[in-house]
Amino acid sequence: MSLIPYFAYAKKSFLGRSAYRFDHLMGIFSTCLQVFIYWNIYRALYGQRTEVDGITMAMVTTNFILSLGLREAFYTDDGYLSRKIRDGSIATELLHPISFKGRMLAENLGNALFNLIFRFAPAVLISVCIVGIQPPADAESVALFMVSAVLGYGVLWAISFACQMTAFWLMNTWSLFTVKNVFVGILSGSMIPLWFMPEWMGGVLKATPFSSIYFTPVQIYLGQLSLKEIGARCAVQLLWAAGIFLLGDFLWRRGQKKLVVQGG
Amino acid sequence: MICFDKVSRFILSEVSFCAPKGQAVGIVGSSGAGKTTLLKLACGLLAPEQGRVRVLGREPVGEGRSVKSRVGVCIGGIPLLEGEDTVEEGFRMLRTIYRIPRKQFHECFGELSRRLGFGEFAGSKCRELSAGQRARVRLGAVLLSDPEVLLLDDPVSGLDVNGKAVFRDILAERCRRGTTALVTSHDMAAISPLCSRLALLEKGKLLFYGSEHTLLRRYAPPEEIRVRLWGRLPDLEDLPLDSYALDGDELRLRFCPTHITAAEILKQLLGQTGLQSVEIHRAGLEDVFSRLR
Repeated sequence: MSLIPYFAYAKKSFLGRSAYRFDHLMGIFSTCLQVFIYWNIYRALYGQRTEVDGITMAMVTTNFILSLGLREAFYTDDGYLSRKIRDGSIATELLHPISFKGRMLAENLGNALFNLIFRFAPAVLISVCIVGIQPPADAESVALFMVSAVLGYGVLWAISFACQMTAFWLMNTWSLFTVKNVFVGILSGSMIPLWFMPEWMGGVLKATPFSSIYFTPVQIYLGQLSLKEIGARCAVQLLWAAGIFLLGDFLWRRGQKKLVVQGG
Repeated sequence: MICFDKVSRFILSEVSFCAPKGQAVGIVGSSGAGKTTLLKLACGLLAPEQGRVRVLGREPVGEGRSVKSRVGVCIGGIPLLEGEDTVEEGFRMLRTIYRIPRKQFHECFGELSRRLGFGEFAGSKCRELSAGQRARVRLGAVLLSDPEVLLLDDPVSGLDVNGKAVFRDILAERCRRGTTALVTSHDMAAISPLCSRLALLEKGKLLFYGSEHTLLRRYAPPEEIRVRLWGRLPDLEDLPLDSYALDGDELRLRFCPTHITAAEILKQLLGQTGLQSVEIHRAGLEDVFSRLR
């Protein structure tokens, strides 16, 4: 299988993204604003205390900066398939001698790479300058943070991919993605750090893919996990990404069959 | 080669025919006859309810890259290029998707843009093109990868006279090189010069499949000769005519062209009397189609 067409799609989406300068300036501004608002809320909640249940304000701030920064970089175009089904261009994709799933991923990666360079990096830099960040535990943590962040993106993309496949049966997927985004926003720890969740809820969240998206990389960055735990968490991330992708792939095959057997 | 073996789907009912390699087959029928359904079955966008479709020796549904890259499809409502791309960008993306070697791409793109006349707006965005321009670009896009099988839904729609002539030449060249094509249209006169065989569809049933010559020979309605006489009424008893009638000095003769030709009748008439004027009314393909329906 040649990867050249997929690189071409990734490049096209990367370059296409650069056309919307105002949009990505606003993206940076919105991320910084969210970090600043959360930082002020938690500063007020912490009051004079330096830590709550062993969690320092610096750790909370670091969680916001990294997870909101990654959220800005982790681009998934949730309406991609439903648009193609609505305008009929899904048929074009089925006729092309390349994988549609590969194209979806390539375009998302192109966008994500653009966001990583032009949104994540500036947003994190600005936020660090304003509210500060806890330095990484060591250089190894930074490297492992990056590996885990990539796997976290894999989980997020797989969730989006599987949800998108419902477009073959649902007329409108908007409400489904609203629910998905609420789950991802709250249960991934990007709004409320998972350290503050009740113990029972923490256990439940560990059994969902959401904590794998942002919270695992943040914990690795902060040096909260041993090497063995990091290996286990990364394996969990990989399993979630693969499992959800396989579910999406199953739905894709069923959806394709629906198109060619039922004719729509 | 494209084979349909007792294929039923939606309106199509037990359609069977084979388009041999290197032949262009015109699928003709009125709106709703099942022409586009037939093309969608051939490219694997639809699966047959009954029967079997084979394209390049395989069933097209679910086929992988090896077959898809050898089939060019142009069906209304299925965009070949993305609206936000310029024509040239769209073609470059097709080059990447179909893995066309750079040199071949430049030669093919140059030739198609020159002949189909889209070179002058190659820098325009696809969504900004007029219907006629879009028709030219679509044809160029489907021909770019030099597919072994072409499935074209009303390809001449939107083309001017020059565009139709160019497309006819290109299709003939491709067929000589071994391309097999299914070309649909509701306009029989437009499609018959493009195709060596015709398949007539009506309400999902295949009424005829064969050459235009066979179609006319087998199903052409009687022809008519109208002559103004310049002398006595000739003796018509020995001629195998369907009917004749005299209206003033005009004689109307209806005959079946498979039994006797117009030339033979005129020779007989001129042997017996003089003629002031002669009009021959021949049945066209549309008359044949109307008769078959």
